[in-house]
Formats: sequence, C-alpha cells, structure tokens
Amino acid sequence: MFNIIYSEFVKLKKSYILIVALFSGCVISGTIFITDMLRQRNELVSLTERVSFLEGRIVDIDRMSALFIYNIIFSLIAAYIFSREHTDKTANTLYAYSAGRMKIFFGKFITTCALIVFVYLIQVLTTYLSLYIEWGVLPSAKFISADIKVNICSILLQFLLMPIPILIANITRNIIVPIVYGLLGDVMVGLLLGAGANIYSQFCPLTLPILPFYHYHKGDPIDIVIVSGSAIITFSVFMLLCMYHYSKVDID
Amino acid sequence: MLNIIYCEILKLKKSYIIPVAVIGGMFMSILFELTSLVFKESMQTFEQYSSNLEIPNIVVLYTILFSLIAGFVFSREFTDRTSSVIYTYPISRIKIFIGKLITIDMLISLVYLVKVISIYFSYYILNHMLPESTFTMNYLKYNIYSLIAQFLIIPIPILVTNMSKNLILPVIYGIVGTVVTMIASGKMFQINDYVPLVAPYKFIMKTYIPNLIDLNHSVLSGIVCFIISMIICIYQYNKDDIV
Repeated sequence: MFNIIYSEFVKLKKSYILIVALFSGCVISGTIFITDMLRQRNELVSLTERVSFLEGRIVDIDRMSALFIYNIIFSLIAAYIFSREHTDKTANTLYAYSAGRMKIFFGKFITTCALIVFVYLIQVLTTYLSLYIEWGVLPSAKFISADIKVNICSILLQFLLMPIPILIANITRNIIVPIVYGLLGDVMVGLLLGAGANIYSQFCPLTLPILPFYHYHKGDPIDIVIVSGSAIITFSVFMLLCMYHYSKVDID
Repeated sequence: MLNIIYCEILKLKKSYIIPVAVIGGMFMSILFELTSLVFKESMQTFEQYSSNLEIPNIVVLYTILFSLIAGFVFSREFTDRTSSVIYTYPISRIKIFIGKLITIDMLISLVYLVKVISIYFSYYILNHMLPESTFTMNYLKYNIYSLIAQFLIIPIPILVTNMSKNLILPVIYGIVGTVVTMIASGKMFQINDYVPLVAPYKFIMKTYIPNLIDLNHSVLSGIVCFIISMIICIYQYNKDDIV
C-alpha cells in the first residue's frame, strides 16, 4: 500500500500538478496582499482595531478561496491523477501491477487527499505570513486555534466530495469534463452562498466545505441533520459507484 | 483555408467540447430559472433578470470556459501525438494557426448564441412576456461587442497552451483571469480601465448602465493586447519544435 502511494507521488514529480497546488494555495492571499498594498488604506491606529481588521481579512481569504478556487482546483487534481493513465496510455502498465485494483484506487485517492491537505496548509501559511508582513501584528492565539480547527473541518468535508470528480474522470477518461464540473459547481456554490448560508443552500452537498467558515466565523446557523445526512449520502453513494466502476472497467 | 476550418471542426466532433460549450451557455439560465421557481420570487423586469444572470456568467464562468476551449483545441495535438501529422500538411503553419483560432472563435460565438437564446427563453417561461424591441436591439448590439472583445483576449490562453503543451496551465490562467476580472470590475484602482480582461464585462454592463462606463480605454487596451499576443503567438507557433 505504501509503495503504491509512493509511486503515485513519483508519477506527479515531473508534472505541473505540484506547482499548481502550490500556486492555488497562494493565489487569493497574494491577491488580497497586493490589493491592500496598492490601496494605501488609512493607517489603523490602535492595536485592537488592527487585530479585528486582520481577523476579518483572514476569514475573507478562507471564504474566498473555498468559494472560488478549491472546487475547481481539487477536481483538476483528482481528474489529473485518475485520467492521465488513459491519456498517457499507461493504464495497461498500471493494471498489471501485482496489487488489487481497490488498492490502486485507494492509493490514488490518498494521494489526492494529501495534495488537498498540502493546498490548505500552503493557504493558511501564506495568509498569516502575508498579513503579518503587511500589518505587523498577529491575531490572538484563540482566534488562530479556532481558525485551524475550522480549516481541518473544511479539509475533512473536502475529502467527502472527492469521489464525484473521480467518478466523472473515470467515466469520461478525460480531464475536460471534471474541470467543467468544478467550474459549474463553483458558480453554483457562489450563487447559493453569496448572500450567507441560509437553510436552502445546506441541501446542496457542494456547499459543505464552505459551511464551517460561515458557521464559526459569521455565526450562521447550521442544521446538523441536513448537513451530516447530505455528507454521508454523497460520500457513500459516490464512493460505492466509484469502486464498482473502477473494479469493473475495461482496459483499453 | 475553408478546408482547414472544416477539418478542425471535424476533429471536435467526437469530443466533449461541443456539449460543454452548450452546457456552459445554458447553465446560468437553468440555475436562475430553478431558483426563481423554487423561491417564488416576485416578478422581475428583464433588465434585473438578465443583469443578475450576466455578471456571474461573464466574471466567473466564461474566462475559464473559453481558456479551456482554447487549451483543448491547441493542446490535444500534443497529447494525442498528432502534431507531427498536422505539421506535414502542405499548408503553412500560420494558416493552421488561423484556422484553429477561427474554430475557437466559432465555439465562443456558439456559447454566446446559446446564452442569449436561453436567457430569452427562460424569461419567457417565467413571466410569459418578452422585453421591448428597442432594448432587444441594444442588448444584441452590446452582446456582439462583448463577443468581439472576447476574441481580442483569446490569444493569451492560446500562447499559454502552446508554451506548456498541456491543458492544466490554461485552466490556471483562467482562474487567475477570473480573479483579475473580479478585482478589476470594481472601482478600486485607477488602472482598472486599462485591463483588457474586463473589456467583455464592460460591454455587457453598458447595456444596463448606459452612461456610466467609458469604454475607450478598454477597447484600446484590448486591441493592443490582441496585436501583441498575436505576434508572440505566431512567432512561437512558427518556431516551435515538433515533439
């Protein structure tokens, strides 16, 4: 099992995916950093004012990256890991490994999850670093630990959504359709959560990774039954479909 | 020349790109139709309905969708290993390049066409009426201007694709372009008028806010962007090695 995951990482070494993951962690915090620099906002004098402004900025960066970047980037990563076996015609080699297909599938799945954790880690690090460079203060330790907890919640909920792009990539054997799925999902989530997390938008499983930010930082209420129900149903249905399809699919 | 374009369109026939273009054009109309039906909103005027629909369309969806289309048309020669075939045609590389560019432009026009038709159709289903003809003429006129502005910025993703020979980097360019469009469509900085990426957005908004937006800067920057990126593209496409 460990060998399979290692070989997946070795396959990624010469591709653009690692750079893409690094970049997508930096893009929103970098943009906010540059725009704040250019704007020359009036100096916030007192320390408490600055700290509360900073906390607002951190929440904004978290929320914006989860809304606009993550869905499309993660479906790109998942689709790339699964579909390049078909586009590079290496599926024959892969299925001749002396490992069961389920093991290969989970190896790829764990690689995807590791890249997701990597993106989140980069995003949190660059957020705090850029804001510290700009304002010279850090928020309180309580806020930082709460923020890390919220981010871990969001990561776990992202894992639950990953089977959807994986299934699409396996069925179409192509990288385009998963990207379009991510794009349309992004737009839909942006519209659903644009005005805050109301009860209707919690029915859509694609909003799951963003709900923690709204719940903990903005105080929007969450219906635990709906959220956990949609999470469990989405994950189990798509995971079963994925595993069934991956074990039955023909090699060509 | 006609043969090259025909041949490019034939290559697209068995791929997912034409359904993707049609879905990309219709998606927002379907979503807004569904939300209006679910939430039972009170009657909107056509201006409100279509402006609510166009902003996410053009800011978030289209930059990535069009760079995906451009990336697909150019990069599949490399991923399918058919570039060695296409460069042995008895046709110069510039003609092949222009043929591919026209194909991309046709796909973009398809997206815009589907968008306009689906907006009118969905509004008619919701409210059983259509806007008056003067507004429609104005709307169509500015949509065509916006389409031309999209043609002006499409060489940038083509250049990114040809340099990376991959479909991933054009998508990343699309994400960056979306972020840039989001920032530059506001009124935050002076330089916003000179960003060529916002030209399509500004032309669409001109329909709804007739006298607020001055478009000279956008048009100029769009044309400059087209000429420069086109020259670099053609140079790169001519000098490129066959892999």
